[in-house]
Amino acid sequence: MKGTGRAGESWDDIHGESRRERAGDGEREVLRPTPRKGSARRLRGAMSVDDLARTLSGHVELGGRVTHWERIAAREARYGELPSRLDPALLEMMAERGRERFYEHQTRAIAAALDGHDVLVATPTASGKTMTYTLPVLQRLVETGGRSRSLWMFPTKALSQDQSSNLNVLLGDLAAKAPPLEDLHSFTYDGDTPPSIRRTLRERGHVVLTNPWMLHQGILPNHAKWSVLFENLDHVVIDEVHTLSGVFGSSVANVLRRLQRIARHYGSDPRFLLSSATLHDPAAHVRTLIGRDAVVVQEDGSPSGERVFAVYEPPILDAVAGLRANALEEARRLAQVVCGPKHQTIFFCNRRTSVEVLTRYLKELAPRIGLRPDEVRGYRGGYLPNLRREIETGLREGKVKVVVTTNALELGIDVGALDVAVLVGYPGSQASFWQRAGRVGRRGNSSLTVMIARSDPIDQYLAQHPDYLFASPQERLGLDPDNLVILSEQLKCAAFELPFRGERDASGDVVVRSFGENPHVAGILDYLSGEAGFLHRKDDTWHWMADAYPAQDVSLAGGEPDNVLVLEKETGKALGEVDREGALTTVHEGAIYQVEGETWKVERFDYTNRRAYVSLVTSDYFTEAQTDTEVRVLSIDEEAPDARGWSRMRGEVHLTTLATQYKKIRFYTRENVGCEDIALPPEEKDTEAFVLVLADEAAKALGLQAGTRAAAWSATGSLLRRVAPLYLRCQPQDLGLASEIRSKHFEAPTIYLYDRVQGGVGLSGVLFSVFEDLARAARDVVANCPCVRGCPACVGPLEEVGEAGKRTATALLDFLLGTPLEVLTGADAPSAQR
Amino acid sequence: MKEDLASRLARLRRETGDAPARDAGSERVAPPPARELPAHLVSNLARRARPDAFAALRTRGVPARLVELGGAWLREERFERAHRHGEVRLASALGADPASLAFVASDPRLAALDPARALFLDIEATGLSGGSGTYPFLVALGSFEDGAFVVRQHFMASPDEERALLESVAASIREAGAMVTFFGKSYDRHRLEDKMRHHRVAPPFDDVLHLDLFHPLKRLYGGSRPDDRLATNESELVGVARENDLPGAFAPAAWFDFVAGRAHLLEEVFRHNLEDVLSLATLLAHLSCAAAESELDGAELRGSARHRAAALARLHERARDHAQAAHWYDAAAERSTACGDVGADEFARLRLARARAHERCGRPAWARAEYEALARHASDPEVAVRAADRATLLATRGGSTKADASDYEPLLGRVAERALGAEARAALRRLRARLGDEGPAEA
Repeated sequence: MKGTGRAGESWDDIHGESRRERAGDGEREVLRPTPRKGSARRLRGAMSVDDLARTLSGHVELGGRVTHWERIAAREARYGELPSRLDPALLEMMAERGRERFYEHQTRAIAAALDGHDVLVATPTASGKTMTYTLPVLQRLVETGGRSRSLWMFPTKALSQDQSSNLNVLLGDLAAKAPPLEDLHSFTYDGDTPPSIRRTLRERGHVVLTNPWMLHQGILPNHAKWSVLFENLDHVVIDEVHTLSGVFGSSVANVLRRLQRIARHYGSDPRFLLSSATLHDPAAHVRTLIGRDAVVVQEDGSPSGERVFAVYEPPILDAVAGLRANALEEARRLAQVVCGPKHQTIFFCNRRTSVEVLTRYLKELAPRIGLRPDEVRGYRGGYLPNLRREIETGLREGKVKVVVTTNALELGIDVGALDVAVLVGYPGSQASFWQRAGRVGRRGNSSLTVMIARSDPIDQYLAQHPDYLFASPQERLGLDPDNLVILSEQLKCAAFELPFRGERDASGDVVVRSFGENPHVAGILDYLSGEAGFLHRKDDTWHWMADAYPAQDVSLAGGEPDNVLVLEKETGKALGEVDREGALTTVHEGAIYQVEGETWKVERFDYTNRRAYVSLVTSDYFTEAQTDTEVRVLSIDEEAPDARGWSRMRGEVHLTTLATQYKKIRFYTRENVGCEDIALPPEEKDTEAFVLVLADEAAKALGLQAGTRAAAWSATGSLLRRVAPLYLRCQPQDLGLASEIRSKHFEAPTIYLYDRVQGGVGLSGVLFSVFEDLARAARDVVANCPCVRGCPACVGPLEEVGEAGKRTATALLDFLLGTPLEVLTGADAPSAQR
Repeated sequence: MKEDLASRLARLRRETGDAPARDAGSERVAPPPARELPAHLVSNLARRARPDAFAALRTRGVPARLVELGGAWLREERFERAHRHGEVRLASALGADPASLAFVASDPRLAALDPARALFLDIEATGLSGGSGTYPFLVALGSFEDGAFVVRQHFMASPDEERALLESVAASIREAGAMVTFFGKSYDRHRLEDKMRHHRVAPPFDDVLHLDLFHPLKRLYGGSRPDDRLATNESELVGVARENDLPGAFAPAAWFDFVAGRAHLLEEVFRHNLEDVLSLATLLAHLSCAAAESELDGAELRGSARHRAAALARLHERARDHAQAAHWYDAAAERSTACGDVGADEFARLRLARARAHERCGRPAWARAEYEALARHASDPEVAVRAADRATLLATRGGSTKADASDYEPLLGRVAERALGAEARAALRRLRARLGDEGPAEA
């Protein structure tokens, strides 16, 4: 079903057949190579995706930069039969919405849900997953005469608000059609919910939409206030479960254990209705997440038009250094080909600043590509809800032709069908890649997705190995609810909510079976009862016994909604929000804060009250801040010195992150037009770290101490960080890295891999014990890399690590794995030859 | 009573082995073997352990005179009707007039509250933040029985007695049909209600009359003293001086220590809780008297008389009884003058309110003179602007087609609209419109 082309081949070489078919329909306007009279808007008439792809392929300047074309043929819809027990009122409602037939994956999922199973639907974006949990929930409301309750959890606040309005319309209709039902309500319960309506919501909300943080800190610790919900809880809906991975996902899995325990207390046994993007081994993911098996539906029955993919490589600017043109600049060039007045294009950037810079570029470019500047919009987290709603509506109604966004539009917010997606850089995971690509080509239309590869190791690897992108998903989501630190912190929260009762197992030992299967649960509870003084054990029951609210002190990690408000200085009007960590680098005084391409200068940042005051300015530059993270060792808890001259350790560290200065960077030219200091207090954090220290003699022998050779040391650190998730069941972003060629504490080259979560969740302990495997994996990556002197896919590009970078890093890893120093320093060392 | 608490606890401890057994010579029963936890976990957990700040204050002993009640415990204290708490007899609460209480509490339903049947409720819990892990371990319910005041302190000796305690408490509250608390609408009631739902015990509160003394007392005396806590109220209004009272913050630790079999401060917590309930009864008596300023026992009513008069004036104003409002504003003004150290701005605000009350009950001429004086002399622009607004309005009503702008030029010259509150801003706009003023040039 897939067509694959080689670099340099044109679209027509590969897809001539498809062109002939198109030519036959005769209705489509052909793009002329040279513009004739008339406006750009008129000249750029309706173009099919094929036309666009052909134009790109044949483009004098850009065509040759597409290194790979991929084509996935159109797929017919496969329909199924809905279970007959579904209430006629529901079918009628669906029919009124033009939904008379349902795709096979939907009917299978709905049937399984009605049969009382937990269900996971793992199909692409826009395949109608919402329906698969909405109908079973509504059916249950009809069956119970409106008594049933359900809790819907979304990974972001925006998503739950988006769903709530749609759902209320459905509930209103249902109440009208099924007479004994009246007043059905859904509510969003999040930090924005006014306290005055919370009580009503708790008692009268048939569907409560919330997010993991509110569940963790607000609902579960106060479950008695929610007793009506828990007594009647039939379904727990969780959307986008592929976002639940790493420390965040592992914590949420424990939150779900707490939820299930509380539901049992109130006599209910809710079923889980889950949705996710396409996943590797979805059954395993869901089992870890909810602690039991679910029916997994992953064969997508929705129709799909032909999907065309292009992998685009920016030109090399400096062949020696391996430096490529800036991806944003390339996106601007591509826009001249792939944007137009008769179709919709979405650009995905990986950073918020990039969204703003590109939005500005495209607004300025608009007249030349037949668009009005107001048809080009930016969209990202941090915009205020009203602005977001306006842009979403514009997209659905087709008024917005071009939108530039981050992952904010990757998750299921309804913006309708778009035609072309441009990914400015690989989003970091296959799941995200497909979610983004899934934004285009709905309703069976064909679609085009262009991925711009940045000068980044993974991007470059993918440009060389595009097969990886299009193969079935390989990524395992790191999820480890039994991580002992996460587990024990969550046990504290759970014990606060309800006492734990132990049972005697066959050998007479007390075991706790109500919170997963980790054998340490009883031991942790005893520990929390004894020295820590949080619990009290009486017989085989553990009771909470402290004046504290543990959920307040236990972090779920993930992007917690602890925000800085951006206000217009004159009027006090809110312009947007910035998350707390990002505030240091985006709203420091002097920063240019951008909203939809408009530039605002930060006049004052009230750090304590989390307010930034800005004024509108005309700025030809944007700002980029630099941060410095300093690691101070507080204690070394474990150490394993190797007599040959290196040591690995585990301990507690104090991190100080300081925003040091910012650069003013001119739009387009990216020229640095000035540098200023930032005066903000540092962010402080205590956490745990895995520490690798090399003795001076070994460092000297391996050639590590001077100049660019120091880069090989930090390159080794980032390599270790990248392979760590293989052993930790975490995500790379859960680990922080600091490397010093001469640490003040150890007076020797030092690498720290630290837990990003305050207090740490024990990742360093695992790193300490699996270090040999980790080093071997890192060495394999370097050894198997075909490059000669380092590339972004292994130790980093030549310009960063220097001539000897790859050789030095390899030798270093070999040394750590036991190869004698003399062998490595000899000119004929085997791995140095690679 | 089958078994007293001390022996029951001793027995339980022998069984669970989490404290030394009482029998001399018997070995401490070893706790079940804790599983080996990895070193990194233990060091991580230990770093976050709770510090023990109370070691120096601990004493030993089991609370005395507890009897079992349906699976939890009860201590009963009886006070004869002549008993004085501070300087007020407990029985004065029986003479409280429900209509007055309803008036000062701004809640007409309370006219049906009978002090002779109401429960005076105060709880001690293991935390202020609420949530499922907070135990209301001591609940005092005071009530009058045959003229005597009886306080029943319901106590749980372990978390698994919570449900039993709540059942007894819920039954008593339901039966009484009325309760009196201090800050209980915001705290005590919710701690109990949450825990009742938790244990599936039907909460009685929706059908119970509830007088919370905190808000009415704050309304009467707020601003006349540093804070509005119970301790401040009882010392100022009832003349109670507690000796060696245990701060409320120590209550959670006292109970935790007791449950864990350590030396504790529970006896102090019982005493503190008991005193709180006695204060509820006497403060109720005070509140009832305050409404009409009738005197208790012939003595002069305690508390700031000028704040009370102003508060009563506002209450009458809210009830649209403008004659009474004017009467109390007059009293407040008189008392303010008498006391001598009232700030000029505060006094100007009082005069403005007083003029408004007089205007409303048919003395516009008197009011207008007062407004005009305030518009000229009040240093607080809020007061001056609002007074000028009323003065000019009355002037136009009185026949002048347009108020004389020249009188108010100095005033308009010195106020900045931005510095005013919403009400005064509106007044300023009306005033300007009435005077034909275009507004400050720099705007």
